[in-house]
Amino acid sequence: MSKGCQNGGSSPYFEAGSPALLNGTLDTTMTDHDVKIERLLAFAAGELPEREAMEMKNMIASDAELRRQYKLIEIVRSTLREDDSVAAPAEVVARAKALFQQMQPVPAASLRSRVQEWLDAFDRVVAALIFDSRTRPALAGFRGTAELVRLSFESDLAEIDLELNPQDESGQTRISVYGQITATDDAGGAPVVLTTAGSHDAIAQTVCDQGGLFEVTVERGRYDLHVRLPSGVVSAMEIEI
Amino acid sequence: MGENHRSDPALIQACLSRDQSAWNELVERYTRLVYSIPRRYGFSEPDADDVHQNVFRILAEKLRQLQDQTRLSSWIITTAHRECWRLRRAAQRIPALPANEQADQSLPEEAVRRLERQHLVRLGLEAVGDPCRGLLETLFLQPAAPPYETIAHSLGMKVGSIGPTRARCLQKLEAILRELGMEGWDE
Repeated sequence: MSKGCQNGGSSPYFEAGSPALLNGTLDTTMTDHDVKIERLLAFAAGELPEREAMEMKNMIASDAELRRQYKLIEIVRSTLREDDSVAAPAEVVARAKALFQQMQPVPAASLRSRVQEWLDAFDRVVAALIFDSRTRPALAGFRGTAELVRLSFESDLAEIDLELNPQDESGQTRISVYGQITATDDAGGAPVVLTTAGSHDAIAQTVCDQGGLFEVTVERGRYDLHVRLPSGVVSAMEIEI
Repeated sequence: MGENHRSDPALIQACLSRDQSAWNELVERYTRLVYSIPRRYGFSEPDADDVHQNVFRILAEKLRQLQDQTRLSSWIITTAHRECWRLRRAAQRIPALPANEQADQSLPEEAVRRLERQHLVRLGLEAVGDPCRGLLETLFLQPAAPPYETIAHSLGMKVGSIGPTRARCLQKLEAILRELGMEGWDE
């Protein structure tokens, strides 16, 4: 239980009842309880001579409060000694903090002007549809639009892959759109907006995770999808969802 | 704990009111816990970074669902474990997770409790402040306590006040750990 000091004689450091220094001020109101805890800590640290260590062992065995405190010391000590946790680098922590602002839903009016700004951006590109599993049911192994649909769009800035999953919600079908942006830029944290096709009216907004993945849920319809990447805006137009 | 300490539910509530400082506090509180999980599984720093970012993204998305969560650390540990598993599945270069910590079996309750305990003790030592933190870390972490003269010199204290101060510090730490919800030493 203990690693008590075995040198015999009295402790050179333990001064029962000495004033405590907390928050830079001397505390002269030590109680008997404080003194007992002080001796217990000296015992736990192996600072007590053999005779005093034996006395403390006996006290722990007979005093429930000391036993409780000693158990706390043992728990904290073993927990700290087995703790192999590592701190995240400062830039990783900073990115996690920045997520909050990125993920705040943009109010509808601001979002409309944001979409307008993106559509007018000089660095905007429109991605071309290069694959639609609905047009190749035999190859893709799908039997109809009620099942999972895959779409791929391609541009100089990024590729956009979409999976459309119909979800029945109390008789009404909504579509979960799972997307992945593969870009030369880092797509992590890139904002994504889905608008009604040909308009600035945002139906859904989200941000990509670190792998460039995102998810939104919408009703069936025709939509435009816009993603703001560091090097420009990528749009996929007239998507039949 | 200090008067300025905010509980997890209080921080979540503040985040829902768009309080960036509350979010920063949540990140500071849990970053070490989150980041350590993929690193323990042998993930590289960039992959651990991805897990870290994804866990906080999911937390930000689910704040409303978590507003009454008193064991947020448990939710965070489970989510980080699942994200490790998801990333592992997506990228075969990442080392396999330990057999007893597969996501489909979920993380064993004992492992969750051990990580939670480590997290709370770390938080407790941070909250206890100086000089208590230094004194208690010396007591708990060093196999053989250094001479009081050495401790006194490094912490700028008088030799005679080390013992009594350390006793008060332990009681302060106990109170903080109780407030954080840690238990296990009462008979």
